[in-house]
Amino acid sequence: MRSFIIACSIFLLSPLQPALAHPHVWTDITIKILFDDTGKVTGLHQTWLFDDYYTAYAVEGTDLDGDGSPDPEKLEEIMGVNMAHLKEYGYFTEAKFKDKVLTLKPVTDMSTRMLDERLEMSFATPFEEPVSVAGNSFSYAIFDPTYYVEMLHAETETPVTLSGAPDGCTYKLIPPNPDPNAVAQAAMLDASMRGETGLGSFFAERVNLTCPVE
Amino acid sequence: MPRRITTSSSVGLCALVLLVLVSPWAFAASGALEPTVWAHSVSWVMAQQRAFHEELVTALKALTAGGGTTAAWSLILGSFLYGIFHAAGPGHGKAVLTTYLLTHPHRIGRGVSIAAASAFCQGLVAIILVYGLIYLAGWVPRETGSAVAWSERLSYFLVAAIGALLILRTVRQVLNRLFPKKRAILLHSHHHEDGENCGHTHMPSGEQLEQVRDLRSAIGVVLAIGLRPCTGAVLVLVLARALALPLAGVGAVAAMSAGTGMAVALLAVLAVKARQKAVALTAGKGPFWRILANGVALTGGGLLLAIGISMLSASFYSRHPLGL
Repeated sequence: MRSFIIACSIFLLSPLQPALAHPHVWTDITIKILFDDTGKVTGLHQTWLFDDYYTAYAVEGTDLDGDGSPDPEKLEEIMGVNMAHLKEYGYFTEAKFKDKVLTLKPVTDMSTRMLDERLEMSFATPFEEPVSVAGNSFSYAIFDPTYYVEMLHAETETPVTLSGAPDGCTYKLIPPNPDPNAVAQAAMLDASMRGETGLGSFFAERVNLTCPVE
Repeated sequence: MPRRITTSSSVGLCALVLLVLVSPWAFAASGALEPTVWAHSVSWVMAQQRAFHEELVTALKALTAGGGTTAAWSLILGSFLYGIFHAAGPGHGKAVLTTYLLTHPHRIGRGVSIAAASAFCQGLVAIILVYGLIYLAGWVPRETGSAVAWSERLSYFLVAAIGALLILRTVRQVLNRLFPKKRAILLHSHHHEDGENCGHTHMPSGEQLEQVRDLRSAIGVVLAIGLRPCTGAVLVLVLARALALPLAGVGAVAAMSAGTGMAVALLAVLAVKARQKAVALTAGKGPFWRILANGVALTGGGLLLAIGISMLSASFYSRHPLGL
């Protein structure tokens, strides 16, 4: 009887969540928060370092000249395709100013290379309007809403740098702390369901920036 | 870091892993487990999967560097455990298998075979799609994504078809019960069509017919599950090839399939047992139980149909932006 209950529960539970699309790709991100001369934040410069699997998947067949490493032109082509597709997803970037999500302009400064045999893509995501962060809340999170790719800040000394920031600006990296109920709910979503609150957001790191009022 | 794990301890470990993994999903659904614990086990499964995935990279690289047998075993064991963890998560394959086994009479051995065949098929499809297309057709890994997508679509279609057939079958059963006369006539005419076989007793041919039908439906289930290769397997194959170790990739995927097969076989045993128990409990208990059984079959069929259709339609508009 107990196994009957167990089996029934599994039966009831399993079809409800084919979407627990646990990540299959892992990416280390390094972020530069960009400031202008007046101390406003203009955007983020992002560097995504992909894992060995995605690297192998993406760059295989790009060594056309046979020198043992992928051709830069080919890598740029792949990055171009990726960025074009990512545009629809807001480049997986959610920047918030005073609790409002900021609109992004098209990416600039695209560049790509191989770093220790891993594929690296970097680009800048400028905001539509620079925001005056002094005394106001500003934060960002970078995540794949479908949680297919897990994106965490690189475990280095400086995963986040403040480029040209006024004195006294500091950031805090807040590790994901998914609300259990939210996780449970998100896990119940079918793969086809895609909302603003994708599964990935629950597992995303968030960086809060604070700058003092002058 | 390649690790040495003795056979007995690894068997014990796997058994423990299976127990720990399969139960949280089950207990959570029955409400016996706090959602917090459940969410934690979800995160834990994810963390384990990530750890094994990373260990596979280490093992593959150690193999390239001439790590020898230790690295090879580390790769095989890592893949095996990855397979188990992968199966521990929810998925459409398990929905198909449980629904099918709960609604069709099969012996435990048959249930386990279907589970094992599905896992084996999944590994084989990954190998054929990735290595077949790369080595025989000269594709690059990025391009295999579209082939994988079509294989997945076929799998979703089969899921929906199995659901639809299950509904049809149940409806037919109900109609036959409601209008028994009609059924007798149908059986009668069937007799006449089988005129040639009338010398034999009718039962064996009916049984054979049933067996053929069973085999056909079982193959359908195996394909519905197996045609959707696991991304983990595809990525390991691609990485192994990039490191010029395609055979290690095949070995890893075989070990993964074995792990997945074992975990899913456990589910199959539970499903078959559950059905047997339910049948024994309700034998001769009047129409209520039969209605309940038909209700379960209709619900299961409806769910599969819905999952199949929604995943099929989703597969056409939701390609991952990174080309995966």
